[in-house]
Formats: sequence, structure tokens, C-alpha cells
Amino acid sequence: MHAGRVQQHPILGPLPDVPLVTFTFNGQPVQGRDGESIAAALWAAGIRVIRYAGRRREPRGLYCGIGHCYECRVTVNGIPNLRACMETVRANLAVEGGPDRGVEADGGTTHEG
Amino acid sequence: MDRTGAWKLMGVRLMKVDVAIIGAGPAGLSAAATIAGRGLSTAVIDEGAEPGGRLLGQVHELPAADGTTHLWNGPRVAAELGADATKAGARFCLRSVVWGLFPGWRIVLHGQGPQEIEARYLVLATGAMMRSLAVPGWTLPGVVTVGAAQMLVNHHRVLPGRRAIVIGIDLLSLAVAQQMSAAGVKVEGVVMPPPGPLAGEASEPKRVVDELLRLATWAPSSGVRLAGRLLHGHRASDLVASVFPRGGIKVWDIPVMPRRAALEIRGNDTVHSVVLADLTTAAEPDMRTAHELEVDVVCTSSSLAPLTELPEIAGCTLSHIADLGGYVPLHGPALETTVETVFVAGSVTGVEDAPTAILQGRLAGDAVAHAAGRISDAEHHAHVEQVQTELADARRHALPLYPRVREGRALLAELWRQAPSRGMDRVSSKEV
Repeated sequence: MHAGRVQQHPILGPLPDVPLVTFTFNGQPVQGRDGESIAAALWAAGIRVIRYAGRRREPRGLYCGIGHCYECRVTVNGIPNLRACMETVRANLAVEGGPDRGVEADGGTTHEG
Repeated sequence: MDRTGAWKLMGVRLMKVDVAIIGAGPAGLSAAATIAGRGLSTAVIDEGAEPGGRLLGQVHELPAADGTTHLWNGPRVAAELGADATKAGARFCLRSVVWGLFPGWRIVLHGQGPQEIEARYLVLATGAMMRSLAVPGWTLPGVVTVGAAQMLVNHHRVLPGRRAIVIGIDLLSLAVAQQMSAAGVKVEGVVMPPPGPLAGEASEPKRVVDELLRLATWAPSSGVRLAGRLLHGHRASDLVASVFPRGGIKVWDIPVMPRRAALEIRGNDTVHSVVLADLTTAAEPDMRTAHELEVDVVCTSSSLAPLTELPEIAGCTLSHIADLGGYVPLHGPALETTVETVFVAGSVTGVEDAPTAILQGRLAGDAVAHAAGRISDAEHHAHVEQVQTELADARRHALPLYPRVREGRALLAELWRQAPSRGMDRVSSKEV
């Protein structure tokens, strides 16, 4: 599962040196490359489930990767509903998956959050 | 971000400019350089952290007109276009999401730059997005679009997985399969989506084999690389759907299987496997051949749809042109729309490649400069003619994602000539 980085790219060459920074995801420390997207850092660290959605608590993660689908919603430093694929990694960010409270609060009438 | 000058805008609430360009992809960036180069104050807005849009993930080999191949280094092209725009004086508002657009024009933003931009002219270069491919299990983490996989490999330098399957056979999915494979992912195959009303024509083996042959035999020479692999050891006449090998044929050493479909993606919290089955000649799955293949990533590919929300909000007439990807803002030869101060460029006008978008950005930029009185009618008409010639030339050599893009463009030009009035009505090509 933990596939890691493209160390040697067939066209772009070796992985450039970028400072590593540590942030937390659901309280656990994760290392990312400074300035990359939170979704990329999580994927490289082997973390694919970003949140659990809807009444059935179905797992969701990165899907479109370019900010359209909103499946990778996270809370960053307390600000909810940001896209992990658009927000960039910085040191000491506190990232949490979700929330999906809106769905629970209304008794699950929203279609699968 | 410093190199784009975006930091200068921190803390500014309202910004007034002559021209606002929404979208910092290839079209928006080249429009910015053209417009700012004519002395108009220009703001480029994008929700990404850096300029480039989809260019940032595009790293591949392109067939050249002379029969060889050349590298397309999207990130480098993005950096060059961004530097040109900055040098010309364009200002960037990055990490900024447009959430409101009001006549005037007033653009309301959420992000780190200004909260509001006032502009006399708009260039909408919003690009396109990939439609979802509904396969049972498609919401499982580990299932991504080929666009996401491309960004992971080429931009973020993250391996999408160890063993991948790609669902959907088209030019983009083949290119991304090849890029993943070259980066070290074992691509087990490129297969068909499950047959059914949701997949439509993309699930018919005959249509997909025809499409592969189109790619393989693209005239005059652009398809050499694919053709050499695809047709190796086969005669083109053998590659008809009914006798196409069930195990597929190898393109760049990746099995491409128009007669095998993915029926389901399985996994608990993340992708664990995919269920595959052969398709009968009637394009139905032969359940006797159903089997499970372990993979840790699934990439789906479907058609691309122009992102027309902003042209629609601006009041532009939209036309449905299937050969261009769906609804597009009705536009003229200089990329003017039915709303006098709104111009469009790039894939929002119809899905094509980045070199086309760059030329369109120049064209729209020139049209804005003309509308703002910065260039004469004569100069403008000469420019339009020149860039249109370059566009026609680029389209002759490009391997288009949509095979009938030229027919789509011709239909759109005809609709523009017939456009009765300016308004908000959608004009459907089916009604013409």
C-alpha cells in the first residue's frame, strides 16, 4: 500500500530537494514536502482514507486531485471544509478529516454527504 | 509565490483593474502576457497555489510533425508563461476562489489576496474537468481519475500505487498509463468501463477499437509512436472488434484490452481488487470469465467537460457541441462571446490541448486589447487572421482528445454566424 515517492522521474529526473515539514493528521504526525498539497503528503505517507461520509460512514479520499469533487474535505487549524488537494502543507498544521457532522445532524437526509 | 508578485496583494481588500483573467492555465497565462503587454492593468485569478493549471501535471512525449517525438514539459512551459505574464506587468491572485461574479464586473473572492476585484473586461479561462466514471466501488479511497494520477506522478512526485488498473480506453488514459508505468507502477491493464447506460459509447468495444485505430494511424505522422506499438505484428484489418485479442495488445508494454471490462471495484477502507470479465461480441460481460485482480490503485478515465459556470453567470449564451465536450460559451473568431466585455480562451471553449490553449490566450488577449482601444481595427484583424492560421496548423498536427474537434469548431462557427441576439438562452446544436 505504501508506495512512496517517484525518486527518479523518467523525464524530470531525481526528486528535487525540498524541506520536509511535520504536520498532524487526526493527531498523528505526518511528514510532507513543504508546499505540496495535504492530499499528496497523506498519499505518500500511505494514508488514503481522509474522512467517513454519510449515514453509512463510507470512506472517502482523494478522487479528482484538482479541486472539483470536494471528496477530500478536511479541517485545517479549525477551519472546516477545505480541500486537501488544494491546501498546502506547512509545519505544525493540525489537519483532521471531515467533518461530516452536517449530515449526522439532519438525520441523514442529505445524500451521502 | 514571490516570483509572481502575489505577496504584494496581501491585505488589499478591493483591487481595480482593466482586465480580470480567471484561470491561470495555459490560456489564461498567455492572455495575461498579451493584455498586460498592451499596457492594460491585469489581474490573473486562480485557486491553485501556483500558476500553470493542468500544465503542472503534463509531462510526456508528443509526436512531432516531422515524425519524431519531442518532450512536452508542462511545468517548464507554465513557468515560462508565468514569467512572461509577470514581466508584462500582470498581477496574480493565487489561492483565490471566485465565489461571486456580478455585472460591472465585480468578482468576489475567497482567499489570501484581495476580497474583491473590479474589472472592465473579463477573460474566462476556466478549463475543463473530467466527468466521473460510475463503476460500483468508485468512491473507495484509492480510486482516482487519471488526471489525479497524472498530478500525483508528475507534479507531486508521489507513486499512485504499486499495481494499478486503468478503466476507460482513450488517448488520455493511455498516456497516463504510460507515465505511471515509466515512473515504476505496474500497470496491469487498461480496460473498459462496465457496460450499461452510464458508460454509453465508451463501453462499446467496436467504438473503442475504432478509436485506437484512429490514434494508431493518425495522419500524417503524429501517431507513429503509438502505431508502431499497436500495429506491431498485426495488420490494421485484423484489429476489428470481433477478433481483437481478448487479452488485449500491448501498447508501451501495457496490456490494452477493449474486450475486457471492469465490473466492480472492491475493498474495505481502500481499494483491494477489481473484478474483470471479458465482453461478448454483443458488448455484454461473459460472467464465466469473471475474475478478481488484486490492485492497490484504480484510475478512471472519462470524457472532459468544459467548466462553463462562470460564462453562464456572466450571461454568455451557451451552445451544446458534443464534439467539443458538451456546453461551451458561444464565441466568435476572436474568442468574443455574446456578452460584449467577456472573452473566453482554452478548454472552456471546447476541450483541446495546451498548445491550442496558449494560442487561444493570445487571440483573446488581442481581442481585449482591441476592445479597450489599444490596437487598431486593421492590426486586430491581421492578428486574428494570423493566430487563426496558426491554430488551424496546430490542429492539423495535434492528436485531438475529441476526434471530431474540427467538425465541432465548424458547427460552433456556424452557430455564431446565425446567433440571433445576445441573451441567456441556451442554443442546442440539436435544434439547428
